[in-house]
Amino acid sequence: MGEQISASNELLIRENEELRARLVETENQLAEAQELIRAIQSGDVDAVVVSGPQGEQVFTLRGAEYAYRALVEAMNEGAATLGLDGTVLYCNQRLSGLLGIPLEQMIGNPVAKLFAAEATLVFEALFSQALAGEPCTAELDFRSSQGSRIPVYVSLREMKSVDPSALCMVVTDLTERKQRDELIASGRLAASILESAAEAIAVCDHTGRIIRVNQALIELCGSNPLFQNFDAALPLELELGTAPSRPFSILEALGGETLRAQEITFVRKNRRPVFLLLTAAPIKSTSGTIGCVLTMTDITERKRSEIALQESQWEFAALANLVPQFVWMCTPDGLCFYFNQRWVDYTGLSLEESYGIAWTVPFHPDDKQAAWDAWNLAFRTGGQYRIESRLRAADGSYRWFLMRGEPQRNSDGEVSRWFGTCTDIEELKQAEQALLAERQLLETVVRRMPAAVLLAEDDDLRIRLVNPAYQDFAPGKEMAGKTLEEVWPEIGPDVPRLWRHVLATGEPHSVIDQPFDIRRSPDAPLEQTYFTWSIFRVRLPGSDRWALLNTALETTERKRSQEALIRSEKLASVGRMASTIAHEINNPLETIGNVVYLAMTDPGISLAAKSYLEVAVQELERVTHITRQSLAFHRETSTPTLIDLSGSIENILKLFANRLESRKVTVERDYAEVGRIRAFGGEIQQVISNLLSNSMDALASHGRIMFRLSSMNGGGKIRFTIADTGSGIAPERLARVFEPFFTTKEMHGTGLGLWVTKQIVEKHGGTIRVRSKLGKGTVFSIVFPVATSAKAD
Amino acid sequence: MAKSTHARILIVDDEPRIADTLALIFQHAGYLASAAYSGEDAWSCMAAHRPSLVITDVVMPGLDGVELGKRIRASYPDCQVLLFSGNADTQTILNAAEQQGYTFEVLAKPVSPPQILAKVASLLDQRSSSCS
Repeated sequence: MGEQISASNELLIRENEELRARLVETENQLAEAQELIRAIQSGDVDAVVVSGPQGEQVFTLRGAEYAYRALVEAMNEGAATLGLDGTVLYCNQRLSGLLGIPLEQMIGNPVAKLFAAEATLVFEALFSQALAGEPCTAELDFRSSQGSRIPVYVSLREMKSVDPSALCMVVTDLTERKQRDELIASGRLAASILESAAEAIAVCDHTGRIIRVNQALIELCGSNPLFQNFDAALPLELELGTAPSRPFSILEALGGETLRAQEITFVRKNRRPVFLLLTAAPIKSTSGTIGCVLTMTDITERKRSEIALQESQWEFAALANLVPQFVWMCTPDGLCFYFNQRWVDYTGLSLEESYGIAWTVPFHPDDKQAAWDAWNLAFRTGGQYRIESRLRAADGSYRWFLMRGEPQRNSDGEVSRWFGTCTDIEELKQAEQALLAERQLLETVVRRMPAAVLLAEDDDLRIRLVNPAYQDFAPGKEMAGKTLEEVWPEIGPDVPRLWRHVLATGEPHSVIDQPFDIRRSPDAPLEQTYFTWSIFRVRLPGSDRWALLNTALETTERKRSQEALIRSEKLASVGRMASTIAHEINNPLETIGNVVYLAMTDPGISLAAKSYLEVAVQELERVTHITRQSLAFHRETSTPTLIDLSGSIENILKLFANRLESRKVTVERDYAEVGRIRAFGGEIQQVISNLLSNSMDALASHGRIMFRLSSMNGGGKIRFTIADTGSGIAPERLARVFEPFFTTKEMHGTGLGLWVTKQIVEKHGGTIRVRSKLGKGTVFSIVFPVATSAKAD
Repeated sequence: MAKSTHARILIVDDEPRIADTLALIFQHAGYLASAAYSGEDAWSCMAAHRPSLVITDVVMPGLDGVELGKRIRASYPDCQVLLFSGNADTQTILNAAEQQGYTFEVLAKPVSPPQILAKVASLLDQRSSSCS
């Protein structure tokens, strides 16, 4: 065992010595190699002798090698040679500068450390591929000494010509290209927007160079400003409020500030300046501002229309002051905020005094309410405001104005304001009033004139108008709008035929006192009337049509009174004759009366003879009565005497006894103690006789007549009434019964009886009234004053 | 009536039958009645006859009743005048007289004898009672 251990110890010591010797040799060789490399790199070595299996080889480094090295140092790309283990054998200044790592730290270190962490794997794959003899490239990120990433393009290739083998690495700095690509990518993104935008858009790089334009910008500039400096291509003036404008510089946009909708003026050579709205925003990337986008909206038109609007407002004010009307404007609430100068001049109110609701101040007090009402109505309905009203002038006088207002609506249909005028219509109004007055005068004339007027149109003779006098012909008939034949069907065809002839030919026609049997209302009885009338053709104003004008005067009364006059003339002559005869009759009657009396009072007369003579006396009395009644009553006595009315009534009843009995008329009496009246007895008897006679005419057989005497006013007056159960008098005739020549008895009466009665009653200080009801009867009542004095004969 | 009888009455009418029969009626009634047939006759006998009352017709040729009445009123104020007439136109004559201040009462012919007797009696009665 011991020998084995000592043997192995000797072996170990020997081996150790051998290894130590080889290490020293290797270290020496390494030192030599390092010295060689340093010498080659610094150019101190012109040739290198490298020992190899084929013996020692000499590589000359000067000459061609030197030129290559100078080229490698001068080139813009980074370059390095790598050992097969990935150690950097050589690198040029450019690569060292790109990475910011000194050469000493580069050479001899593994190249993989230079890459960003995630790029290492890619590089290792690249490296092994290159070793396999396949040259390859990739974009990778280096890590700089400051830790930032540097995008690079790496190209690896085996260098076979050198021995031992090495790899050649060329590095291209992609930083700038990357930035450009980024810009172009974002530019491409915006390209479609850019091109389709109506606004002029410029994209500038960080130097202010225009790198992107759209068609709108080209048109704005008049030429393509691409790749020009923005400020040079578009000299812009910034408008900042009221401050004076100043030149705009692209640097402001690149400074990182965002400009929003700034108004600028673009002054172009030989072209109109344009107004632009400028928006500028910087484009930022990870590495800071890389450019900016400028958007320019042409607002020249808007600007011009703004100016035009302002000018038109001035023009409006000028125009508003030129028109003869007052011009006003109101808010939708009715508060006035504008008046033209004419308003101020007329009313004497300042604008301040008129604004708001103060505009109502100059309205005439009588018109104020109507103006308010009209305004409120227009305000509620949003319709037109229109009213005529008087406005007070500065001097206190008033003139008529037509006020009109209309709401102005916005696009939503809401009232935005009211716009209106006041037009002076004073003269128009005066003319209108004068016209109206004239018209009213004419109407009054036509309405009040006693002559009746009718206007008929067209061939059917349709009545357009009648005046009240015409309507009075038949108060119960509707006339306007009816035809002549509809109104007067009872007059027959002759008159309508004549009227149509006049309408056709224009020949006027007149008739005097033509008799017509007419109805005063559709269901009234026919009445005999007389009319004096004329018909002529007139042209309707404002047309080419003809109308017929009929004027008429009812002459029935005149005609009747003429007839009555004739009758009374006859009566008078009969009366005169009767009067002369009466003298001749009365004298014999007197003699007979005297003789009969003498005979009756003769003492020698027989009883029989006396009874005969008594009959003669009675018959004489009858004859005497008849002559007295048929002649004049008033001749009986010349002085008024105290009359007992009941006695007078009885006297008359005696006279009418036979007629009353033949008609089976019942007479009722109701006499109170009423005192006496002072009167002419004959006249009072005539009154009673007339009334009784009328009553009997109105009575059918078996009628009743009532006489009544009663006291009034505590005995100061006497009421005498006579009532009958006769046919009564129609209301429209009742009012006329006391008129002379008015009669309901047509041909039988003189039309004088009640008139005379009234005259007699009034002569005696009395009054007479009549009440009547058709079919029921009539009551006449007379009031006489009671005779106060005892002076009597 | 007893007092009035024997009073003098003059009856005037241009118709003698009326004047005579009426005078007879008054005589039978106890009056001293006489008749005259014209106004002139009546007037001429007034002085001798001196009647208390004259009844005269109105319408007569010559001196009519009203004219006669006026003369009597003027010359014989104590004598009463009563007119009677058968004529309708009497009123106009009376009205003319009234204008001159003379008012007469007129009776219409025919007057029944009892009526005129009563009238005359009452007139004379009034007169005599007012005189006595």
